[in-house]
Amino acid sequence: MSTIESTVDTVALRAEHLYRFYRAGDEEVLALRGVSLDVRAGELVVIAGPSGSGKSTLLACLAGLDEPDGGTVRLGGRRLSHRPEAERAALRAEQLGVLYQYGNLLEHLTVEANVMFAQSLLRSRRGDHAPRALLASVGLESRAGAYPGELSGGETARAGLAVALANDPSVLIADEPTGELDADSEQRLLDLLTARAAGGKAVLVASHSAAVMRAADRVVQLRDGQVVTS
Amino acid sequence: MITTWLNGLLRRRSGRLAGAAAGVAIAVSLLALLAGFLAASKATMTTRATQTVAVDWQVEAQPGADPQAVLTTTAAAPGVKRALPVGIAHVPGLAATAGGSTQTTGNAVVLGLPAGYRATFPRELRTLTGAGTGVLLAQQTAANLHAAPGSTITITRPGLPPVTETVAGVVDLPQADSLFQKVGAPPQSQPVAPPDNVLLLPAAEFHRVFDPLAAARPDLVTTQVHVARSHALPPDPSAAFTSVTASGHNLEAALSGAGVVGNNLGASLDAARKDALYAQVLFLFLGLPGAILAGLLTATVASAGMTRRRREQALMRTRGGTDRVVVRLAAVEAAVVGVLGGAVGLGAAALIAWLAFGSMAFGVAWLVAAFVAGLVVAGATVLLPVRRDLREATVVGSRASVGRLTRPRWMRYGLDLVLIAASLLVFWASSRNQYTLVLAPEGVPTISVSYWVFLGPALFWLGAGLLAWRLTDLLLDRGRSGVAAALRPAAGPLAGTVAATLSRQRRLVARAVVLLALALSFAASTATFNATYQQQAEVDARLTNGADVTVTEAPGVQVGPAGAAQLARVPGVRTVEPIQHRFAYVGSDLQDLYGVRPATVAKATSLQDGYFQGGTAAQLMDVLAKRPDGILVSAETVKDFQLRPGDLLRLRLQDAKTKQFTTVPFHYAGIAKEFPTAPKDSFFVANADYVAKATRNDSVGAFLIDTGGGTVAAVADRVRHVVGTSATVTDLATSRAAIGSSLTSVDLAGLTRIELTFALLLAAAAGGLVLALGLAERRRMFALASALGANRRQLAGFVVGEAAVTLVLGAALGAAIGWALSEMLVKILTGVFDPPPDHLAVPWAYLLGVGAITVAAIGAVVWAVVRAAHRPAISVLREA
Amino acid sequence: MTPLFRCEDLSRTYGSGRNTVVAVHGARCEILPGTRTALIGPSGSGKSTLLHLMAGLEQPTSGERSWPGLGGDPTTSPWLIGVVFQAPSLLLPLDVVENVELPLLLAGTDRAEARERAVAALDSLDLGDLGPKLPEELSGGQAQRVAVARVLAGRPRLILADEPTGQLDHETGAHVLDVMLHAADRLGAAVVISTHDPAVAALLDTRWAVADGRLSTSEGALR
Repeated sequence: MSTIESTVDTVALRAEHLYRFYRAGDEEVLALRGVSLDVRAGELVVIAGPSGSGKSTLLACLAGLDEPDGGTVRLGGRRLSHRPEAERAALRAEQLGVLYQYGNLLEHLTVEANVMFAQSLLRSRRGDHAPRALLASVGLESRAGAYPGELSGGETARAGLAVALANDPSVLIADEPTGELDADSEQRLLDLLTARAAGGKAVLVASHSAAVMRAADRVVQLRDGQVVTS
Repeated sequence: MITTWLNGLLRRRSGRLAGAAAGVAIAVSLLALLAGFLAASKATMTTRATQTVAVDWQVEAQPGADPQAVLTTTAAAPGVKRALPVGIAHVPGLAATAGGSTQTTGNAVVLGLPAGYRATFPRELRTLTGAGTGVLLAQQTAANLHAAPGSTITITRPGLPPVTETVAGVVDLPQADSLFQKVGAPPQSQPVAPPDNVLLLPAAEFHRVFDPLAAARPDLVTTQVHVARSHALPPDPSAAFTSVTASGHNLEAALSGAGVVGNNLGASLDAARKDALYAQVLFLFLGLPGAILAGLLTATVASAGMTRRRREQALMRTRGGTDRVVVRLAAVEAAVVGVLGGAVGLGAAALIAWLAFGSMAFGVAWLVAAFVAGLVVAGATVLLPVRRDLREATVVGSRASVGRLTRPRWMRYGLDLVLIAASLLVFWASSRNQYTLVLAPEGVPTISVSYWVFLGPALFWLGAGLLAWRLTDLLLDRGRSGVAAALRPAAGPLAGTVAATLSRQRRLVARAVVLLALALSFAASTATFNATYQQQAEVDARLTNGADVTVTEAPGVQVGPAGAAQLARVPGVRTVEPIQHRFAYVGSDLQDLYGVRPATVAKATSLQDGYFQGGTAAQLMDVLAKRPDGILVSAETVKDFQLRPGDLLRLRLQDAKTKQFTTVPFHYAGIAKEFPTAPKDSFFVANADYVAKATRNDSVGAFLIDTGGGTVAAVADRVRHVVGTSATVTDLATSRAAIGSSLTSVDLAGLTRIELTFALLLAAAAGGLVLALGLAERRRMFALASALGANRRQLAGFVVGEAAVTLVLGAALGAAIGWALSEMLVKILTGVFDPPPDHLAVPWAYLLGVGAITVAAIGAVVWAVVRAAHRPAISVLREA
Repeated sequence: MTPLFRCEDLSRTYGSGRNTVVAVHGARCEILPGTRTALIGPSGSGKSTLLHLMAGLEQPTSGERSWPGLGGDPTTSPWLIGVVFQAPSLLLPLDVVENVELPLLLAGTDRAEARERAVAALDSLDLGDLGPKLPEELSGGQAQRVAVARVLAGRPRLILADEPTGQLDHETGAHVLDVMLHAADRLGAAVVISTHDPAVAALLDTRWAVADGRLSTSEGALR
C-alpha cells in the first residue's frame, strides 16, 4: 500500500528545474528547459502544448523512463531521477502507472491475461485487486477473454488503463490517451480518469484535446520546453 | 506468470517461434548427421582394415624356441580364433626342366602350409591354374621356371640331396609383402622385398623334406604361427588399434621371448586410425561452417521479430518488471525454441539417415553435443539481444529505434582486415611446417591433430564475411549514383529512388549479402575440395596401379610393343601404351629403369606435374621426345652424382643379345619423384626407342590400358582371359583394396552428399529467406508506394533492384571467398591428398546447380513480394 | 459542371458469414470541382473506407462509382487525386525531398522536373530546409505538412484527407489545414476532409454526415 497519507497538501509527483537534451541528426536540441511541476493527490493535471513542445520528453522523465540531464523528479517524496534503473523500476512498480497512447497491451495475451501479467510483474502482489474487478471498473468485464487485436479503439484505451492501474498506483501518467478516440469513447475514458482523481489519486495527462482540458483541475501550458502558464 | 506468457507465445506467436526453431533444427540436424556419418565411416574403415588383412598375426618362433609351445600358447591367447603353424625354409634354388632346357632360380623360399590353411586364410593365396592344394608354385616363379601344373621342380637343399616335387597348381600371392615380412624388425627399417621364388608344400611334405635340414641347419628353417583373430573390435579405428596392439604385446609377454608377433592387423588399423583422424577433422571442418551459417540464419529470423520484442520488453520494464524477469521470460522463449528445434533436428537427422544410408548407429555423446549446440544457438539468438537491450540505462533508451546509420564499431577498427591478416599469418606460419596436421610421434601410441592450423581458414572466412559487409556498405553509401545507374534497366526513372532506399537500409542489404556470400563460399569450397579429392583419388590409384588396367609381363617373358595390338582389340579398351621395365646400374647401384614413349604415354595414364621436378609433366615428356638420350632420375641420384641439367650420365644396361651389361650414355633432363608402376625407391625414366636401340631389345615390361571410364573390373577380366598366365593383370579396384584403408578408399560420397545438400539448402535460405525477411520489414513502404500510385512494374523495380544487388554482390563475393578458401583448404589438408593436386578440380555442375537454386529462391521471393505489395492491405496503412 | 467523383449505391463489406462487417452501405454522392466538403462522423463510422473508395484505393463490393471529371479510372493517372492519410505516410528510407518527388516519378515525370516541382512544393509550405531530413527526424506536424506538400506537387484536381489533424494538437492542426486549403484554392482543386472534430468541419463549406456506414449529404444532418 502506498505510504502517502492523503492530506490536501501532499505532493504526489514533483519535478524541479528539469533539463533534457537529445540528438537529432547532427544537432543537439534542448527539449526541456528548466521545467518545474507539481501534481497533488486528488488532482487531474493536464499538460498541453503544440507538437514539439517537449510533452512526451517531460512525461518520460516524470515517469522515470528517461533520465533528465538536469533537475530532479520526486515521486511520493522519494527521488526518482538519478538512480540506478533497478531502483527506479522498484519505485515505478510501487507508485506509478503509465498509460501510453498505444502499445499498452501485449498482443499475444488476452485482456485479462494482460492485467494478470502486469500484476505478477510487480513484486508486491495485491490480492484484493483481482483482475476481474479491475476490468469491471473500466467496463470491460465482458471482453476479458478477447485479444487486443479484437478490441475497438475505445476498448483498447480502457484495457490499457486497466493494465496501468494494475498496481493501484498513487500517480497515473497518461500520454495522449484519447488521441485516436471518437467523442463518446473519449468521454468514457475521461470519466474514469476524473473518477480516479476524485478518489484521492494523482493523475497527470498530456493531451491536446479540448474535452480533456475542460475536465482538468489545472492545465499546464508547455511551449518550446518551458512552462508558459501554470 | 511464465505459464501465461508461454501460453500466449505458443498460441499467437507460433510463427516467430517456428521460424527460429527451424533455423535451430537445421543446425542440429547437420551436426547430428555429420556425427552419425562420421561414426559410420570410421566403423567402415575399421571393418575394411580388418578385412583386407589376409593373416591377422604372424607369430615367428624364435631360434631355440619350441614351435609346438609357441603354437599352444598362441592358440590359447584370448581373441584368437584359429592358429596354424607354417613352416618356412630358405633354399639356394629351384630348378625345372621343360622342353629340353633347364631353368634355375636364385634363392627361394619354401612354405609348408597345414591342412585347412586356405579355408582359414582365403586371401593369402589365389589359384591361377591347376589344383588349389598340393604343391603350389608362385606365379612369378612358374614364369621364371617355365613351369606349369604337371612340371617337376627340383629343390636344392644345402648339405642334403635335392628333392623333386610335381607341381599341382600355380597361385598368386597378393599379400606377399606381409607374408614375407621380417617379423620383429624395428618400425623404421625399410620394408624387405618379398622373395622372387616361392614354392608351397603341404605341411606333411614340408616336414618330410625339411625336418632333416632343420636339424642340420636350424638357421634356414623356421616356424611361424599364422593367427586368425576374432574381428569383434571397437568400431573406432583408434580404439581397435589400441586393443589389437595390446593383445599382441600380451601374447609376446605370454611367450616370454619364445615368439615375436608380426601384427598385420595392427599395422592395417594404424593406417586406418590416421585416416580416421583426418576424416574426423575433415568432416568437422567442412561441416562446422554449415552449422555456423544455420546459426546466423536463425539469428536473422529471430531478429525479424526484434522490434516487437523490444516493445514488449520496454513495456514489461515500464510496468515494473525487473531485469531478471525480462531475462527469465526471454530464456523461456529461447528454451522452447532450442528444445523444439533440437528435437525436430534430431528427428530429421534420424529420418534422413534412415532414408539415405539405412539406419545409422549414432553415438549418444554426439547427439547430446548436437542438441546442446542447438540450445546454444537458440540462446544466442533470442537471449543475447535481450541482454544487450537491458544494458541501456533507461527504458526510453532501449526502445529507441536506430536513426541515421552509424558505422558499426568493428568497421571503425577494421576488424575484418585484422582477421584476414591474422589468417594469412597463421597460414604462412603453418606452411613453413609443411602443414603437418596429424602428428604421430614414433613410439607414441596416440596421435593428435594440430587444430590450430585450421584457424587460418576459419579466421579468413569470418574476416572475409565482415569485409563483404564493409564493401556492400561502401558501395551502397558512397557508390549510390553508380548503383542507380546500374539499376536503370530494371527500375527506369525510379532508379535513383531505389538506390536511395537501398542506401538508407543498407544494413539489411549488407546482412543478406554477407549471409549469401558465406553460404555460397561454403558450398563452393566444400564442393571444390570434394571434387579435388575425388580427382586425386583417381590419380593415386592410377599411380599405384599404373593405369586403369595394367598388364605386367612376367620377367623373362619377351613381348614386344606389338603385343599392344592384341590388347587393343579387347572390348572396353580405349588406349594401350607399352612401358619398358629394365634394370640399370648407375655406379654400383641397381635401379629400375622405365622406358616410355613420351609422346603418347600420358594418354593411357595421368602424369601429374607433382611427380616431377625441373619442369611440368608435359615439358619433361617433351624433352624426352626431342632429346632421346634424355633421362629422368631420382632426387637422390642427382645428389649422389652432383648432376646438373644436361650432364652426361652413364648407365649399364643388359644387352639382349650378349646378355652382358653395356654402358649406355644418357643426359640428365630432370627429376622424377613418382611414376606409374614405379616403386618408392630411386628409378629412371627414359625414352623407350633409345633404350630399345641401345639394348637391342624392345621387350615391354607392362602395358598400361585406359578404359576411358568404363567398368574397369569387367575389362580387366576380359584382358585376363586374353593374356593367360604369362602376365599379371591388375586393375584400379583391386589395387585400391590392396593398399588398405587409406583415405582414398573410403567412400566420401555419402558424407559429401549430406554437406552439399545442406550447403544448397543454406544458400537458398540465405538468398531467399533473408531477402524475404528484409522485404517483409518494408511491407509498409510498399503499401504506401502502391497507394501513391506505383504500378506492379514499378513496385517490382524496388524489389528486383534489391534482389539484384543482393544476388550480384553475394555471388561475386561468395565466388571469390570460395575460391580463396578452397586453395587454402587444399594446401592445409595436403596430407589428405596423395599425391597433391596440381590444380583444383572445379565441380561446375554442382556450382551451377547451387547458383540456379539460389536464383530460383530469390526469384520466388521477388514474385511473391511483388504480388503481395501490389494489393496493399489498407490495414497496413492504418498501422502506426 | 462535370463531377470529379460520383457514386451510386456504393457498398463495401468485409469478412463473411457471422464476421461480416458493413463498412459503407448504399452511399450516393457527387463531388464537384472547387468544393470543400467535410465527412463528419465518429470513429468506426466508415468515413475512412468511403474516402478510400473515392480515392480508388479500395474496391466496392457493390454499387457504382466513376470519376467523369478526371477522365476515367484514377489508377491510370493517380496524381490527379491526392490523398493525405491519417497515420504517418512518408516512406522511411527516403528523405523529405525524395518522398515528395516520388509520386511524380511514379507517374512518369522526368527526373529533373520532378525534383524541381518537389522543391517548389516544399518551399511553398515553408518546408524548404527540411529537404535532407529523414521522416523519423520530423515532428508529427512537420510530417503531415510534408505529406501535404507531396500531394500538392502532383497538382491534383481532387484532394482527399483522412483525419489529417487527428494526431496533431490544435495549433499545428489548424496550420496544416490552412496550408492545405490555400493550396487547394491556388490549384482550383476540390477538397474532401473526413474528421470527427466539429471545429475542423466548420472550416469547410459542405458538411456530410457518416454514421454506421451510411452517408447523408443533406445539410444540417449533423448530430
